Amino acid sequence: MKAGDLIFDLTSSWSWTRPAVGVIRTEREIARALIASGMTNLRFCVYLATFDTFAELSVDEVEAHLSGEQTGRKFARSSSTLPLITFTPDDWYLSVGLDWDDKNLDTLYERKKAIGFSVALFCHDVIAVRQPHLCLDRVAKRFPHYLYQLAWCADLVFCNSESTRADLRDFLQDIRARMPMLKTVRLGSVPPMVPNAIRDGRIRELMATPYLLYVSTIEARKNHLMLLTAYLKMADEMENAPKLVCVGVPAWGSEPFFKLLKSDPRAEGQVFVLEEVGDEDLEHLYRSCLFTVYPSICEGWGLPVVESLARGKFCLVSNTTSMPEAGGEWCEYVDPFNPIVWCKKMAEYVGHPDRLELKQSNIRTGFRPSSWTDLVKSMVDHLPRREGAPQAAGKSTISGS
Amino acid sequence: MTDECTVPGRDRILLLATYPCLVPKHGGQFRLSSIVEAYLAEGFAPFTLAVCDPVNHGPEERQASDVIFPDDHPLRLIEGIRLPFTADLQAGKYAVSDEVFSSLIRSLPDEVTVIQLEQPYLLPLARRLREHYRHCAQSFIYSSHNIEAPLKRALLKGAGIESAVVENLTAEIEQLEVAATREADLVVAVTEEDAAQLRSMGAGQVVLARNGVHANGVRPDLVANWRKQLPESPWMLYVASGYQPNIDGFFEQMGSVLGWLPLDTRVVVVGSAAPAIKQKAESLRWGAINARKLITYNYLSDDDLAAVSCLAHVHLVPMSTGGGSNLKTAAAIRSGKWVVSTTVGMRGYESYMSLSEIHVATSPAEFRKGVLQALESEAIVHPTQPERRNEVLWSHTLQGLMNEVRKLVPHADQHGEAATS
Repeated sequence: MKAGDLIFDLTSSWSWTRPAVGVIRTEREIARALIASGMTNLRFCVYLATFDTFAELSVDEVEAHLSGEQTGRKFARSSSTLPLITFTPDDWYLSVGLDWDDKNLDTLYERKKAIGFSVALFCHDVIAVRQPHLCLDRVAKRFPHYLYQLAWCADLVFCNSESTRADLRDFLQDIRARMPMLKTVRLGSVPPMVPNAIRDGRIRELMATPYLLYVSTIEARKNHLMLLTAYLKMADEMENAPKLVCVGVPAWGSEPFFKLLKSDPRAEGQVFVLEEVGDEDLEHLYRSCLFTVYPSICEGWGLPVVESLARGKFCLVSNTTSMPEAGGEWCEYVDPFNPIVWCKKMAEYVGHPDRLELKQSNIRTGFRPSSWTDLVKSMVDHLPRREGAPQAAGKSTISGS
Repeated sequence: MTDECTVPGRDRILLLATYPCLVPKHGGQFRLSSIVEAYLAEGFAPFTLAVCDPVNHGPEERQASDVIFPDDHPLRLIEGIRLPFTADLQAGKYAVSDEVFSSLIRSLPDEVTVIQLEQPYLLPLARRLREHYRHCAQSFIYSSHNIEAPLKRALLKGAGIESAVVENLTAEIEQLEVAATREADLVVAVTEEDAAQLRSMGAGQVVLARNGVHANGVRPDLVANWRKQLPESPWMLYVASGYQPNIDGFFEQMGSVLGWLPLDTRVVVVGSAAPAIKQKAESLRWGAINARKLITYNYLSDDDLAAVSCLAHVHLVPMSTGGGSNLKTAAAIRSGKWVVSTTVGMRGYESYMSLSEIHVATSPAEFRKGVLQALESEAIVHPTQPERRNEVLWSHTLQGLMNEVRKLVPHADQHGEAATS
């Protein structure tokens, strides 16, 4: 029997030109880990919307793209010269990207039905269906039909948490759709780096005094307004309150937060928003903060929580959806709709450095984040094996980094 | 028809209904139209008189002799309130008033051999006409399309009308039905079940005349044209008028969300039920999913419908309530395609339930399972028992009625000469 290939779809990150968001980072890191695994029968493709078809990318092209040489603009010029990909019945097609935006799943379904290859897709969250008021209207309207398409296209759907898996299962039952296999996998995280000297003067200045850190896109769902309310109350009640530093790009629904930030005089000199922070400067911010906060209303996983823990930093986290799963025993969990409790908890850890240090000591010694290599191994292991199914070439297992 | 009525020697049959049948759109109109055509073919001279709603039946649908029941007439109100589903009952009272009656008889023939009443509502008019034509040896036929009283009760209750009012109206309709049944020389039933019920009401002679379908030929050019417009992958067809049980039945069987249908499967809905089904489907919680599954056509010509029907992989008959039998069931059986029906949908066609291409479901879950099985099955090229399927043609289903009317009509043996003169 002919051995099938694992065909990884790189459509979302291939044409992405902005600072990477979570899904884009995930797609790129998985691509890197797949290449690093030395897997035989690994191929890459992109979906070309103009031609409503799939084209093949060589591994060299993908490596060049991942290393930053290939830009979205160059992709646009070369897309018409990319060869069309050929699927065979033994292949597995895998996509983890922004499928509701970037590709026509009806086309994928037709190709799969005609040829008979297997499809594995990824569900990052079901927030746009369960809490549409927290999402862009355009996405909220599109998402129910996208998940219906996902159910019928996929033989297997990877979910980034048990919470997402349960939400997806419940939704597919609600709409009576076909139920593909649902498997929970753990996203990896980029290990902490040893940063070079600080580049941004603002950051050097901030690091001179104590501060709390919130790393997240600034949008309605991430609950910056509640956090600001809680923080200002704490600052009112505390002498020499630490600063609050928010690192993230403003997005949909952030206006109320910025309005309060600008109009409340208590925020001046105490609350800082940094929109563009390089990776190394972010490492500095993590290293020097007292602890991090993550008051998001809902998540599919909660990668920043894991990244905080990976840097040995205690995180005060919302107690909803997947966040307790991401933070495990290492965080403390608070109702994201209760600024009074957030105020109290932040003050508690600010006022009791011994308690904070105990938490962080335990994290440093006990917390072990998953790697992207672990994720890739887990995903490949879940693909039902046929004789000659994709496996690492020359190695019995995919080694961890 | 008027010309036919003036031909000497032809027995005139005056048919009374609350809707015209020149341009049939719903089941009752198709049935009446088919009965008229059958009478013509048999050499009778049918003459229809409709007392109808000008809003639902525009000038292009009406004949000069039809009577318009004005939309703003006081009789539209019952105890000062305009109630839904009561226009037909009130039309009977309107038509029998002196002013209206004296006007309508001017357009009627001088002599009538048979007065045939479609449904019970115009019984007051039928009685007055029987008195008017007492100089002719006329027979009276009551042509029942279904047992109306319980159906009306369900519709009126469903519309939220006060129970006491519902019961009063239902009792009035039941009295009309029983009276029509007992006064008739011949009662026409659409199903065996209805026939039994009409006998229990006091009917003397009962003849079964199932609903049927015409033997429409399929035009290859239209099939080719529709093939380009309709999906390539297997799809299903639902043909239905805007009668509420047709709409309710669709959602009861298919569900409020169509996510259980494969990604490339569409539901084509044809008929006046289509806009209501589309609107409701899109307004439901997961309307965005439903919207992409439906293809709707408010109206298709007979030729276009025949072409579309020929291309469908599955025909749906999802009625959960409603009386009588359904023309769409006959059409589905005749199509030779896969059919998924409820037991209610097969009423009157029970003998066809054993055909291998027909799946009869006793629950919505079973209905949906039947649809999925049909979609996965090969398209039917040679349906089983084609001769039995021809028995749903109007030419077959109405033959019993034609035979009984011949017995009623005093000059039946002269029809052969009249038809060829």
